[in-house]
Amino acid sequence: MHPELRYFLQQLLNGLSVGSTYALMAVGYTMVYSCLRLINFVHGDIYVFGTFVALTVWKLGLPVPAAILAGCIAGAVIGMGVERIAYRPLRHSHRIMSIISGLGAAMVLRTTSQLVWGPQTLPFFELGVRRAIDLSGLRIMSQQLQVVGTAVICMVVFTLLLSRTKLGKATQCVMQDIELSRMVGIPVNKIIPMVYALGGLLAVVGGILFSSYYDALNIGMGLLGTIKAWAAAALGGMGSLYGAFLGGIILGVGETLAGAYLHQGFRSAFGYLVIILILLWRPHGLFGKQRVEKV
Amino acid sequence: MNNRRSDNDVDEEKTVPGPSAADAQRSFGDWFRRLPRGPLAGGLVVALILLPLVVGRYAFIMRMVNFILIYCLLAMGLNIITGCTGLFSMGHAAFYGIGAYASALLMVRFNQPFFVCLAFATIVTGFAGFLIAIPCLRVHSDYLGLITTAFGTVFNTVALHWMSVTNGPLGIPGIPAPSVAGFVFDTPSRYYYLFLAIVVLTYVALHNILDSRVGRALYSIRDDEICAAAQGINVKYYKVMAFILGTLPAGLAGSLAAHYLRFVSPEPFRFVQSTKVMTMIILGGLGSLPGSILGAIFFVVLPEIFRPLAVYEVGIGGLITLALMLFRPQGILGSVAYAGGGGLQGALYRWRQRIQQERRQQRG
Repeated sequence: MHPELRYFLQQLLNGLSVGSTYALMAVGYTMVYSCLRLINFVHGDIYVFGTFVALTVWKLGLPVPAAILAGCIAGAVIGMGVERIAYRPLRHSHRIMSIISGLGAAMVLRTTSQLVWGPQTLPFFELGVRRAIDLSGLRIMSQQLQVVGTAVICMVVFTLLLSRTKLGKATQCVMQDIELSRMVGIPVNKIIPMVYALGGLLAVVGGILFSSYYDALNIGMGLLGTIKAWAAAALGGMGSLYGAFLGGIILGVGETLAGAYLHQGFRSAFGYLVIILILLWRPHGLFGKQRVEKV
Repeated sequence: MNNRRSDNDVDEEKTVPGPSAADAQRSFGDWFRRLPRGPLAGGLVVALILLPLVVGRYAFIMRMVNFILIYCLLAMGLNIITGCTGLFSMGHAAFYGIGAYASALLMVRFNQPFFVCLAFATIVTGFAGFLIAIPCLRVHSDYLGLITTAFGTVFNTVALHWMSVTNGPLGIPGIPAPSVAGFVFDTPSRYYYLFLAIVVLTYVALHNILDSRVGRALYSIRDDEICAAAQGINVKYYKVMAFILGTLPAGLAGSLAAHYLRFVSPEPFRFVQSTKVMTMIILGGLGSLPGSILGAIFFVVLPEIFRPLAVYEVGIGGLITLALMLFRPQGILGSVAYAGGGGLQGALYRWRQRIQQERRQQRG
């Protein structure tokens, strides 16, 4: 294989792996977003908290699946708690109020994580045996396959859950209009916490994959995760699951390629520049529907 | 909804001298006419002038007070953008940083006098605000927040990695103290008077702008954009103007901070700083200039009081923000119109109404 092509493919593969973790966080984010239509600043901190819980459980000597399960449950519980405490009392007020209360909740959660686990970066456990496949010079790591595979499986399961089950259809109704759903008898106050729980769960899955891929976890990742998930979800168009997935992949691949070919330090800046340009071209994201504002 | 008198109303009621007529005839003395007065305001002015004589001996208090003044500028600027016009901007720290770097570079590399640096930094920041406002016209609420966040991150990355200009994480040291006509502002008290003068001037200017045709246009865009456009307000023009008006004080603040700290690095201009200024204006009340000052005082003094508990600083700030949103969503001095019937207050009100309704039904 031509060395240039091999380098490009290698970077593309790295980008796909990073992008898959972003995609998982973004899918959770976009679900949560489309429920109440507000920027959720807590998302990243839920993911960090849940991932820390998983790490702690693993350190206690329990097997990896138990650790993942514990992390996911923690993420789901905190997601529901945040909805109950910070968002539900403010559902009828101006949107910016709930955004800010979410920001406050995020700060509280971040401090809690810092007090419990400290500000330093911790090494993370591996999800399986690390192996590399050599494909005529192209090195495919087993973690990369894991990350991409998990993301695709989660995506498929969630799409089926949303489109085929009764619960999923109720969720879709709530996403479209809360008041109307309440009028036709959908238990809105059960559906919304459930969506927040699912969002938190997906965030933790993405977080565990991310931390195990980079073998690192610290509390600074929370804010970073929020911004990346938000950016990816907005890129794909808020409320669109496929859009968020694709947005995450584009963000990951774009960042990695920019880092590889332009300058490593500028990689996240290039990701954001791409987002600004895409939003200028399509102000509602790649797959977002234009919502006509009624007077 | 829009409680304020709009310009169209004035045209219809010719007999009533409307605010726009007053705008045209305003003389210099009028600029101070609508400011708060009375013994309380006078006492406040005297207290502010005498402050360094009382606490000037304690360096750390003077440092705190000077930072409050810098944050006042930042918070008032962001309040014009987010509080008065309703544009959700999360990139205010970047404008602060642009002001600081512009001033520092002009001072260190080209050795210009202080006021030239100050003016240059302010103009450059205002121009940056103008440039950012243009893409922001195309997007709404959340996407606007995203674009401003993205801008903040891009600025920080550039400041961190463009070694030849910004010297990266090492920053720009050796910025001289500001001096005007041979008088050097080099003690905390002198800095205080300089900052106080600039903050007061900015406050008067912004107060008058908000009390004019421009301010009313901004408020009406915040309350209902479609309604404002239907009344003949040029929404795009005023949104750009809000960004410029909001970023000019940030440029001032950046320049002052650079000359106060004598050192500029990318560290203070990160995303966290934007959220800090945002919490300040939320605490004080969106759309209220005195509220911004109150918010700035609160969030500068609080971490100093809790210095031994520095680990909890972010968390305590978060708790306060959360509690505030739940109990008094309009902020301490904000207007109720913007907050709507939200928060626990609103929930309590609805709960009381429901109980009353049930009682009425039981009787009837």
